[in-house]
Amino acid sequence: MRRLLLVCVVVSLVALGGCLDDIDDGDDLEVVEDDAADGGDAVGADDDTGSDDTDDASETGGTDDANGATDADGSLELHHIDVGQADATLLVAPGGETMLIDTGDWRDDGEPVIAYLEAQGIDRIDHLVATHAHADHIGGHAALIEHFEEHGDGIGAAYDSGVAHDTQTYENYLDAIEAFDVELFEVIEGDELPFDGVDVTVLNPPAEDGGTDLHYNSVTLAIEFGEFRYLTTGDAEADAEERLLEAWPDELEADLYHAGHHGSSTSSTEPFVSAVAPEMTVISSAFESQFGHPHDEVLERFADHGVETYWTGIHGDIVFVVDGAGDVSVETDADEPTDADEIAALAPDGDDESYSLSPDGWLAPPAASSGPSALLGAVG
Amino acid sequence: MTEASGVVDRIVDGETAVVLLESDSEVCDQLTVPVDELPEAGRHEGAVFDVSLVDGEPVAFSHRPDTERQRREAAQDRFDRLSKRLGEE
Repeated sequence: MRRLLLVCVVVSLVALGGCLDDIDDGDDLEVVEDDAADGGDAVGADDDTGSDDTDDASETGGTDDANGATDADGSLELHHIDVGQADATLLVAPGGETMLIDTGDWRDDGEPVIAYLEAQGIDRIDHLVATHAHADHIGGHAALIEHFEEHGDGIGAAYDSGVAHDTQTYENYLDAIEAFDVELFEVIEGDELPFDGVDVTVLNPPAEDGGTDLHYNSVTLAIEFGEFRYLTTGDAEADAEERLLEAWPDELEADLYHAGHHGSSTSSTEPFVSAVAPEMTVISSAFESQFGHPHDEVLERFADHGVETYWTGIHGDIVFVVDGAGDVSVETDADEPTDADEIAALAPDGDDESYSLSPDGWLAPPAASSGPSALLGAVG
Repeated sequence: MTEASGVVDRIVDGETAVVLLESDSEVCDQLTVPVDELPEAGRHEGAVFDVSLVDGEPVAFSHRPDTERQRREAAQDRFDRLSKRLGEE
């Protein structure tokens, strides 16, 4: 399935050696290196990546290469938005259709995602996916639906694992679905999501009863564009990965793998990474993740497999642009290493600032904390 | 001392419970607690608690299994009512 992967390293205007805290929204993205040989159309975030500007590579489409493989038309963009300790991924199909997979953490209420989308000139989400109902994945759903329904061109349809949650965040999401009469689909393995020019196959949740565990039922998508393949598993953990290995052994291989569960060692198990065999991976988690994501064990695994590794915690917003021939360019906010060993050396250890139970049975915060709000920064 | 309703949104890596605090049908704050320090019967996602707070800090969690069951059923029923299987007309 592989085609030549041509990766163009891109750095931001953030000064080299600058503070990681300075990673911004991606407004300053600038392509500093490109490869004219592939005719690629790497797009800076300052460009409008909406429907009008995503078909520039159509001249490369529909042709057969020497091996008989058929090129796709146009280009596919995959934007891994830096939303801290949370997930939000925007896909833009060759014809401009948009798919948003998760919307960040509830505390952000969709704001960074909406701002990013607006900066891209996007006023409609054709396909809104909730991988699962945790508040670091659907935290912006309600605000985003309201925003695009009231101020944009709306939401085409929403897709969900079908496993409900009893949090207020989830209720707010359904409130918005109901208030704006958004079409809501439950998906299961084998489903195909309609995404113009791109094959999107649902590999999880299972068709049989998968119980009520949100991670086990996390929506997993295999996305194919020409010869390029992308796999995103949400927060699927080892048990779900094991099931995927059994149920979909021939559909897991991918050029780009969105690491499960923010790079936690609960996911990206050795058998799974071996089966996916990615050239590149992207991890969505905060630089100072309270949970220590990504875990060293996972980074070591990526290093052992020679996987080029991107992490929103250091690279900021990370955009992959795949042209019709399967060539990939990468744009990041910050020019940081992509060697997983080097990233492991940069990553701070987990900062466990949670409450602990004192001997008398009362809960007390650690000495450095001054209440719940003091904890929030560490989680993000 | 004040009381708030709290729901375990998730348990991260089997160790840390993320508890969302609610007030007036809105999420107002978030606590992270070692999961083994919650009442044993409530060490799972979706568990509902009454949380006692002093000066904004939690001092006790009381599991509310009946409320939890009602909320779970209501949420699932609502999703099922609002949704359809992909491909259904």
